[in-house]
Amino acid sequence: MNKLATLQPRHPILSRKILIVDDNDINRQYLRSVLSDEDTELLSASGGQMALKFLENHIPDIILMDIQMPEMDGFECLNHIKQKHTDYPSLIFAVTGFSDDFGNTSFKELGFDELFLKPIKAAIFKDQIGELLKKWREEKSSSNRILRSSDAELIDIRIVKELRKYASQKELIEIYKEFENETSSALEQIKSHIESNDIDKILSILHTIKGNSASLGLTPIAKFSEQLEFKIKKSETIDLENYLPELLDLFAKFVSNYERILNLN
Amino acid sequence: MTEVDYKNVLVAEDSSVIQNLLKKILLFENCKITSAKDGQSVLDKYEKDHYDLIIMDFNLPVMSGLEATKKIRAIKNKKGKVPIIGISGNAKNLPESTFFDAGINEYMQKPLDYDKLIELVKKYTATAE
Repeated sequence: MNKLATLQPRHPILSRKILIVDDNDINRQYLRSVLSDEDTELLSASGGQMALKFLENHIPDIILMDIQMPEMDGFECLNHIKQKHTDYPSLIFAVTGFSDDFGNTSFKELGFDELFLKPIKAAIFKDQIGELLKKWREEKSSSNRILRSSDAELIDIRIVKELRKYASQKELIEIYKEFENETSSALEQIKSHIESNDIDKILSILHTIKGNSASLGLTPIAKFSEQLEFKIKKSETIDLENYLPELLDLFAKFVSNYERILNLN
Repeated sequence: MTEVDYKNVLVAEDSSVIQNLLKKILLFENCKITSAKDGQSVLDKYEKDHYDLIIMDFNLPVMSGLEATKKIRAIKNKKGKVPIIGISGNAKNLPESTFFDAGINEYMQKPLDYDKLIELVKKYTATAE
């Protein structure tokens, strides 16, 4: 058994942040209990305004939107979201007890990505939205539309939860800060090694970046450095100038978002 | 037990990210962590002081973790029998048996499963009471 070491995801379930919008306490609690697991971070809003407030800071993967709510209903809330963020990366699902809420207009025409009728079937709901999210992420990565990354795509929810068991909030930020510092100088080193064409040194640095980013749940950086490591090993000579900007870009995304994401809870 | 009984753990890892991460995590297990950033300094530190456990990354500069493990195992007294947990992203795609042949007790692939690591640390630092 001597196959190439690949980064095995420690768990197959997608890291995700879900915002539940429903004015009914029992409904919110029910959805929370159905969806709660180690890979999921749940936010609940008791109305449209509160949901919009959340979305000023959070970038969830899925928004579960009740339709009939006082003050601001689900349609209005959806319109606010779509107006404000044209590059919004979340899937927005309507969750309603009344199929005639939509009249003759389909939920898709109104801008929802899917419609779920209450009562929500606990046994299959999680799998259903998991499937939709998986498809959506694949679509997102293959499309030319520039969409923002969700919080849970940038930093794996489960790993942050694990680290929180051992590190205080301050320490947690320090750990990621350390990664920022170490990796930014590592990337500088890669640049100079590219000039001198020192493949071994580049590989060793990429390997460290891969291990560190994976250990901190920084999936996009981990995956990309792994692919790059793999490509270099396979062909020895590779046009690194073309790949480095993408790695730098992923790193910049991490740098500009991690403190916001980690400070949210 | 009135006094806290610290275990001395030597962490051999060239990245300060993982070093500090492990320091924070293992603090809860009453471990006192000493860091070594390359294979040679692992040996130097190991000769000077007593350690209850070594956590060894294999991808180390100067002397690889694999080499350092073999050198420790070559010590023909009690000191050569220290438990070693090997950790690696396995850059050179070696089969796991290579690590065990060198003399490690346990192997963990990166990304590290922290709960599992703590379990192993507990296992190897447990003292009979």
